[in-house]
Amino acid sequence: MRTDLAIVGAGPAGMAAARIAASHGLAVTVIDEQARAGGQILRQPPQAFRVDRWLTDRIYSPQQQLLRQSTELTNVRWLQATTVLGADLVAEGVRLQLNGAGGTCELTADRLLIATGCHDMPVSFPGSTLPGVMATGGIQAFIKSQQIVPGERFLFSGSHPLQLIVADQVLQAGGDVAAVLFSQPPSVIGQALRHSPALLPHPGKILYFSRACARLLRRGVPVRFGQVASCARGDGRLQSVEITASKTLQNGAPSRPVDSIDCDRLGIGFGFLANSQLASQLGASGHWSDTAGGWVAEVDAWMRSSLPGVYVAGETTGIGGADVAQREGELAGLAAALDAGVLPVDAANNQARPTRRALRSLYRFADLLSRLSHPGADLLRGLMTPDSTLCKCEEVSVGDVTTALKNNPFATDINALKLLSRCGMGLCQGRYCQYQLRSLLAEHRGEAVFQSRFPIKPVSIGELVSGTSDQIH
Amino acid sequence: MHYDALVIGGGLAGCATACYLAEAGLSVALLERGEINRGASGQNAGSLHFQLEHRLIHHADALADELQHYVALTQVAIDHWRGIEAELESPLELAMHGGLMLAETDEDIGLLERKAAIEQAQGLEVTLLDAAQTQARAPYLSPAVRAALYCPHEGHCNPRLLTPAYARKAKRLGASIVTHCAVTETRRQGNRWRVRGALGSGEVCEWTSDVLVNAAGAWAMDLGRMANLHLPVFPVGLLMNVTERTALFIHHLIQHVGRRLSMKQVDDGNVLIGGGWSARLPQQHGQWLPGRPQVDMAALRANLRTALAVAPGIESLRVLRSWTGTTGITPDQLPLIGAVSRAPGYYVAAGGSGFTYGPTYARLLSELITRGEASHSLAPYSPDRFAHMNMFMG
Ligand SMILES: Cc1cc2nc3c(=O)[nH]c(=O)nc-3n(C[C@H](O)[C@H](O)[C@H](O)COP(=O)(O)OP(=O)(O)OC[C@H]3O[C@@H](n4cnc5c(N)ncnc54)[C@H](O)[C@@H]3O)c2cc1C
Ligand SMILES: Cc1cc2nc3c(=O)[nH]c(=O)nc-3n(C[C@H](O)[C@H](O)[C@H](O)COP(=O)(O)OP(=O)(O)OC[C@H]3O[C@@H](n4cnc5c(N)ncnc54)[C@H](O)[C@@H]3O)c2cc1C
Repeated sequence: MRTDLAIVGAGPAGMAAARIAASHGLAVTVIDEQARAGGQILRQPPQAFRVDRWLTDRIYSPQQQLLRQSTELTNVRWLQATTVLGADLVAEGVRLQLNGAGGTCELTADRLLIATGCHDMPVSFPGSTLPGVMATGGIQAFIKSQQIVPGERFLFSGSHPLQLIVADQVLQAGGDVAAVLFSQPPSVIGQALRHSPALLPHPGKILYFSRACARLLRRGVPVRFGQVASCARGDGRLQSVEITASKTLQNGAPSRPVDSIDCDRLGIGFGFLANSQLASQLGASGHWSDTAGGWVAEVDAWMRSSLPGVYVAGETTGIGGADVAQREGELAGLAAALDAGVLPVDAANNQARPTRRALRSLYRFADLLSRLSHPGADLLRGLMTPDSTLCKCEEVSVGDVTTALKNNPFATDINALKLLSRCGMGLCQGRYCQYQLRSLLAEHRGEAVFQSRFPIKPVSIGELVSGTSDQIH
Repeated sequence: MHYDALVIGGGLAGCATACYLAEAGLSVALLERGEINRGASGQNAGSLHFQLEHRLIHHADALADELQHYVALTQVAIDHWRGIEAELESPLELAMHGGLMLAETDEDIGLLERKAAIEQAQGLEVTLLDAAQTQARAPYLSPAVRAALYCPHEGHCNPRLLTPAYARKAKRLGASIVTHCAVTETRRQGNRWRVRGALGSGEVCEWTSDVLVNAAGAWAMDLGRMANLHLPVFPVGLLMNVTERTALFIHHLIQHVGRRLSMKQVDDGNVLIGGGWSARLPQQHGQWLPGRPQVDMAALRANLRTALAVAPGIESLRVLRSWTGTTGITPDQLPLIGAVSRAPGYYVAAGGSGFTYGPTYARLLSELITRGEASHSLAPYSPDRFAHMNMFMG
């Protein structure tokens, strides 16, 4: 198979790029491992199952409109339920390894856009692997796609404002919310208000957010600041959560619970990490950002990565939210057309102008959000007791890693530490432990991130051998 | 700073040599440009293979002396491995539960029989199994396997653990371990070696030593150049695959006499599949780059197909990762171990099946350095066999 432009990820970034590139005549192939397009923000219900009031709030309308437009496009091929396992640069452009319903196959593209989005930031603390402890974004995805509340009584603990939105969605879908905990001190509200110039151009978001808060208050849901879930307890599944003052943990003191709340679901919401495996496997340049998604790819003003013919847009360039992702996707779509020679540079610049203008203010908003919603390294470190599970796949605890570091003082890079401790060697290729493992290294002298390997997601030997390779060496 | 010995390269060869030299009472520093065990030593298959290689079988008559020497060395290595966890005071996930070299075709069987005869004549413990005996011993193998040669000592050890254990012991014995230090210059000055290295911070450091050990793996040739020496070690990229964990069902090191395959299941349940399939080395401006080689999908599929053909039970297992590493090979496939006569105090430890034999090579080399003679001769591996390449090197 070949295509002019391959886009990995059918979220706002990928859909927007597909729409623009296709409108300039490029043959586009969009690949997404989910069964339906839309990405994280529009987690669609399965086709078989009708949801009457699916994401009715106005806040979702730009992306819903984009979804409608995208699916009507003619020269776009959608490969849904198909995972990109790996990619490499070849003479013809980029070659992707795909795994879909028919097994594995290869797709060669002149150009590649990586728009793989992000995932919830995992956090280790005692009991974090107990059934019933979930990622807040995961809870939301569940409600969005199924309109079912996955539990009865919810507690939210984290630092990201998405917590309030999900808590509200839980209430609206019929669940009960015990409390929403923010690890930051109450002064974070004042800080946000002081930056109101960055907020004002986005009244829709503010309004949506304020309405959600008002509904929570009306229902008497306590929203507490300066507190954090420090231990999840239960017999085989979550029954109660211990709560500690953030300050205690930030100072490195052992947790001294100030409260305990009974619940059967705990949502953890400290923000998001970029899905950057594909970009890093290809060898694109990137940098580490503690607050905006961990390792993120570096791009120029046209979303070009450091590699020829490879573009990156959306959360994978740094967490910025759905509107940023959509705008970056537009730029990437224009750039692909520009670089393919089907769009003159003046026209590209003209078409990019309104997008760039919108992005300037969206980036200011996103920066503010990233800064204010990050819990801080000290708090995350404070939650990580020696017994806490760091790597779920390989069952490596925080203590295992600190012991390995103590015994092998010459290890100073994350890949050496991975090799020594097994942390990050399992099914998820370290997506879930890399951020925290890094925090255990006192100094970083080698590589900043795990080397991402083929296949990005596990694939059976049977599926792999059934596929073919175009080139035999 | 002056040391009795400077060891360059923090792989198995370097760490183990540093350890044995420190144990013998020398002051030692090990210089590594990246991190310990991030080269071939941490990325290999971890196979302990003691059965003879193809090369030796094909030219058995011409290589009779070499064969004898090799089998004797194998015996030394086997004994060394049996005691290595105690020696290093570290669990290394060592398993010596036997290995099977498989045959599927008539040609394979012919080769296997010839191999068995040569090995038995040399005193290597191997047993030829027919199809039924192979099935009885290894019911997980496909009926397509028609014969196998069994060697009870073969097995595997975890490459994640071995080299760091040597590094730890070397450090305990007083060796200093300097990482993120790329050696850029090695010069003979008077009766000493003067070595310069660039630290990650950009700072340049200098050391002197009586002895210099080139343990730079696939990059031994580049390092040799710094001493005005041609050391013929060439980098090659190799591929490995690992599956998710599953209940233990493969109880041997599996190799194939006619196809490229090595397969084993580690205690944690993961199946490791490799066997010498190539990966493309990165290059730029006609030079090999030290980065990791690229996976070649055709090789990857062929590797897995080969494994699947002999062990059908792996079909549903999911591959977690395919990785690549760079190892060094020599023109005659024998390692380069020993002194370089034209450069006094210069020693090399590179090439060969450097995991299986690495600990033994390092111990013998350290004996050569400290006592002038190794307890088992290293003569066939002497770098001086390529002395002609340095004849005109001034
Ligand atoms: C659980 C969750 C909930 C969120 N909720 C909100 C919210 O309410 N409001 C908000 O503004 N933001 C939310 N976000 C952030 C959200 O990701 C972005 O706002 C927006 O969806 C980003 O768009 P994107 O195009 O960059 O990525 P995404 O929308 O995440 O799209 C990326 C797509 O790439 C696909 N993909 C990734 N890797 C591969 C691969 N190897 N092969 C094939 N396909 C692949 C994924 O299946 C996904 O559909 C949420 C994020 C998460 C993780
Ligand atoms: C995929 C793969 C599978 C293999 N499988 C097996 C197997 O099953 N059994 C077996 O016996 N063997 C196997 N081998 C071979 C074996 O791994 C090697 O022979 C052995 O590890 C070599 O060890 P080394 O210490 O010489 O090299 P390395 O481990 O590569 O160490 C060399 C070190 O030197 C450093 N260095 C280089 N130049 C400089 C410089 N200028 N300054 C400072 N430092 C420098 C490098 O950074 C590197 O860390 C395999 C190899 C590979 C790649």
